[in-house]
Amino acid sequence: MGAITLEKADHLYWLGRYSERVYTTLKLYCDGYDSMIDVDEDHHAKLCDLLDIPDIYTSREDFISRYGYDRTDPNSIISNLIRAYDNAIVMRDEIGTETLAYIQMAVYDLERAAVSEAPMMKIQKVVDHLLAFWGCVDDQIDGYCIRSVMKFGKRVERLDLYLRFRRSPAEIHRNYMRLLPRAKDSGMACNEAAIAELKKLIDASEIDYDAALMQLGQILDV
Amino acid sequence: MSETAACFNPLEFEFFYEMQSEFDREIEGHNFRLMCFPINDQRQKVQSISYEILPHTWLSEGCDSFGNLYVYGRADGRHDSFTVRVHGIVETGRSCFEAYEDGLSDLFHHFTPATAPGDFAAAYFREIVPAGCNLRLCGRQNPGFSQVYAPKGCAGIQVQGCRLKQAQTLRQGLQEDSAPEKVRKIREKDSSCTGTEQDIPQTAGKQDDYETALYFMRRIHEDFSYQKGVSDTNTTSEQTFERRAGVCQDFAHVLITLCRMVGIPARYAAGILEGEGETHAWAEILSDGKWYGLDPTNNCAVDGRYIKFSQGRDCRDCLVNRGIYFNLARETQKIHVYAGTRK
Amino acid sequence: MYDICREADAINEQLARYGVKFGIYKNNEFKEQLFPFDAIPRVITAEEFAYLEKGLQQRVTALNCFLADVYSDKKIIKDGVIPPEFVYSSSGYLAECEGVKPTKGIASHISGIDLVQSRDGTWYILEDNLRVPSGASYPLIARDLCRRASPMVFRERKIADNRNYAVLLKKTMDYVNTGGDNVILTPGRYNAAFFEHSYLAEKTGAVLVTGNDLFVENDRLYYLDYQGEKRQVGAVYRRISDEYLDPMNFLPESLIGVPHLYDVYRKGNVAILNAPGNGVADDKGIYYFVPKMVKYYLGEDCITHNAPTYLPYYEQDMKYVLDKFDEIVIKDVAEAGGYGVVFGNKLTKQEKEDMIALIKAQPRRFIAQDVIDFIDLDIMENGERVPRKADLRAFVLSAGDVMVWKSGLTRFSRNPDSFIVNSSQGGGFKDTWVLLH
Repeated sequence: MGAITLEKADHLYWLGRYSERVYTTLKLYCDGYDSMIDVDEDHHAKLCDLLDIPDIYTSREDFISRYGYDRTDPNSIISNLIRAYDNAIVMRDEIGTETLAYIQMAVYDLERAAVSEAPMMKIQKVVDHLLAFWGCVDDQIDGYCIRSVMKFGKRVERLDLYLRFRRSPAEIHRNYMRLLPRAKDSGMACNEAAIAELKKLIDASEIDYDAALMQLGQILDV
Repeated sequence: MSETAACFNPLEFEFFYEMQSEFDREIEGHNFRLMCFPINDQRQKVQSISYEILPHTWLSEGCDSFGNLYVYGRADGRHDSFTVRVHGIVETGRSCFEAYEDGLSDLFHHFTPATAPGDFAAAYFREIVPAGCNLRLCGRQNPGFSQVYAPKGCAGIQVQGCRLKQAQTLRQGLQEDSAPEKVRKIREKDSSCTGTEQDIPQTAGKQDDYETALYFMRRIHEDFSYQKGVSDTNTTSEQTFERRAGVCQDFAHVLITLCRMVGIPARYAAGILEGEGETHAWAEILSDGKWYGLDPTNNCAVDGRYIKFSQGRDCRDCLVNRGIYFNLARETQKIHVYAGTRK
Repeated sequence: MYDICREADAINEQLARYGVKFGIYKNNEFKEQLFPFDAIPRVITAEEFAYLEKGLQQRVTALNCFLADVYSDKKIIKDGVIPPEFVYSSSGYLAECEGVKPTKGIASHISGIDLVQSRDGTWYILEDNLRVPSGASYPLIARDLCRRASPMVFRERKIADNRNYAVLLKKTMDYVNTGGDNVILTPGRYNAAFFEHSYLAEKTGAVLVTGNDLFVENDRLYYLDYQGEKRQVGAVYRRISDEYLDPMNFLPESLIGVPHLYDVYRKGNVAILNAPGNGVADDKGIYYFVPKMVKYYLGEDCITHNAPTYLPYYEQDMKYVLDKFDEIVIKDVAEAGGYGVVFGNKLTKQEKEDMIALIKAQPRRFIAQDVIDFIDLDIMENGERVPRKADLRAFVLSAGDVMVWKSGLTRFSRNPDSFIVNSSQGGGFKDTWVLLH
């Protein structure tokens, strides 16, 4: 592969982050959807709290439709998927038309879910296509750097979300360990101090989630 | 050498050009392009030149399609001032014309947005060229006049397909000294003119072009007032025809427009004039295969006191300083020029 | 005839999958639209193509001679073949190109020549596009999908493979490359043809860049890779127009260009495809003179046919235009993309009078052409075959050899009453098959 520009590395990183954000929040959304059917109608308040987004939703139905599919809601899943798409579309030459197609199809899938009576059935397709996307990344992209930049983004996002979700120390630790090699292989300039500090926080017997989130947020500030 | 243009002995000039820009806040990523270096041609010969541009990250030199030298470059870091100093020795007045050889004369027939005539140009033209006089606008030579820029008010002006004998008629008038009186006379004389196109020789001497341009120059000098602050580098000749005032750039544009209207190739020249002050601009017209400089601001033919930096279709081809940079800053510019003969 | 029609939906679905789209602005909002594909191909026989190939090679060779001449010696003007005003008052003429020799003397590397076929089988050239002709990517990707959808058709018919376009394009870039990487310069993803820019970058291995990625230092052009290393650029396949190319040499307000790019180009240290200033040769007024150019530069009769064209600039032609106003089509030389095209018989009395007054006032601004009764091509609409107007854009690549791509972009009008096939006006496209025997 040829060299890529700085701006492209940025797109790859954010493509990784947003596609991961969609993937992980979709799972949360599906679990919440299930709960809201007959267990806890107001479950969306908890979800918003967990995601650290304003609970602007007036009802279960409102949440299901707007958080899922409203392009004017900046926190919605579709908005995040469109951001992934926006970062992918400018990277066709690096990731390839074949790989890009899976993000494109995920967009179509989510649009279909929006108008479906049983959206969870359609959302399975979104998840499938996102997984196929990552499979295609591994299969089709020769450039190790390119893959690493994308996966670095994906790992940062995963850890970020898990910290917000207050996942168990074991899970946090595991995801931190998966992040580390990607940071190095991506070749992106990382804030070493933030990485060291993050390690200290995560290794502690009791994780200070907010402090860890803050350090994670500075990982690219050099 | 031509008999009509004054001839003179070569002069050796030392000149300084200094430009100092101040920005009211720091700028960065500053790309610039400077065209303030004398060119080598038949009239002038550069003996030595040195320049200093501060700050800069890198500099490079180039030569454009009109033969103008320029220096371009970039200043990356933050800065709030920008200085250009040029010093050189130039031998001028080696000839009073420049032989036409670059094949671009057709280009200088054509109007540019800055020199396209409109209603006011047309009105002025009628004012200085009496109706009966056979000076006509040249359609074939100037399609831009009637077609590309299509000034609304020009519909009434007759566009003819050939260059006519106008200059002879004018030259008769020019033999007298007082121009306004002269024109009135021509008007009286020619109001009864019934000549048709068949009467007019199609092979008017090329030297007539020089005299026609000379007449235009004298009229401009008389009819337009030199006034600072009424125009800028975006001012068109049409606006100047309306205002009847401007600076050397506007005077040059007006002369260029008039010449092109009658099919005489004309170009813009920028440079400096003996003495101390600012940069100067004048026009050059092509006559009999030679470019002659005419300075409508000073109503004289260009001689050894002029040092030329650049030439082009209009002032936009000859901008001394072009720049773009990040940050919105107000720029104040001081230019100081000096040129004097060496002992 | 071809069972491929039955697969049209599947192919369109695939095109959607791969994001084969063009951008369009509606009410100031950017939208991406799928480019509708019709599965019935345009078929060009081997003999026909042999004729077209010869004709197009000749035409593009002459146009390249013209571009080299017009910005240097101007022999064709001095010899009175083309009146100077057609050069100097052309909006595509750039004085900045005077005396500048493009690398290896090629100005039009990628030429898009638009043709139509009349009912008697004659091919007519509609216009030459020598600036940034677009559209090759669409048949390129469609072919892949058609072969998947109907392998049997491709087994039975011997159809020239058109999937070498990227190879031809890369060869064209490499040929003029002055040392360094090939890049494709795009205005960005909100450009109508962004799909094509990114797809061609992928297929040719060129680096897709925007103006911000490139910078000049001294006499060379570079971009920074993501590790901050400078990499030199040897060829720029630019997909932005001349005036936006370099704010230091052209429009100062351009934000998508590269400062000093033109200075580097002038010194021969980078190739720009296509060369700046080409607009002077694909001006609708200059079109009239192309057969004369062929004769003048090559000493040959022009093989391709121009549509019968009249320049109101010439008195005789003006008379024709006025006499036959209802039978001709008027084109504004300054417009493109199907705009500025007026059919005489479609105007009201008032409009007609206004138009005639305008032509009389600005004769250089218009050309007139006889309306060619061209062959309609069938498209499938709601399960039925219906005839529609269509044209063909042939792509000719110049890299030492002049190569005519064995395919092309066939565009059709979806509106039965319209002659306008441009994608920006709702047209669709077809694959173009060149038969081997």
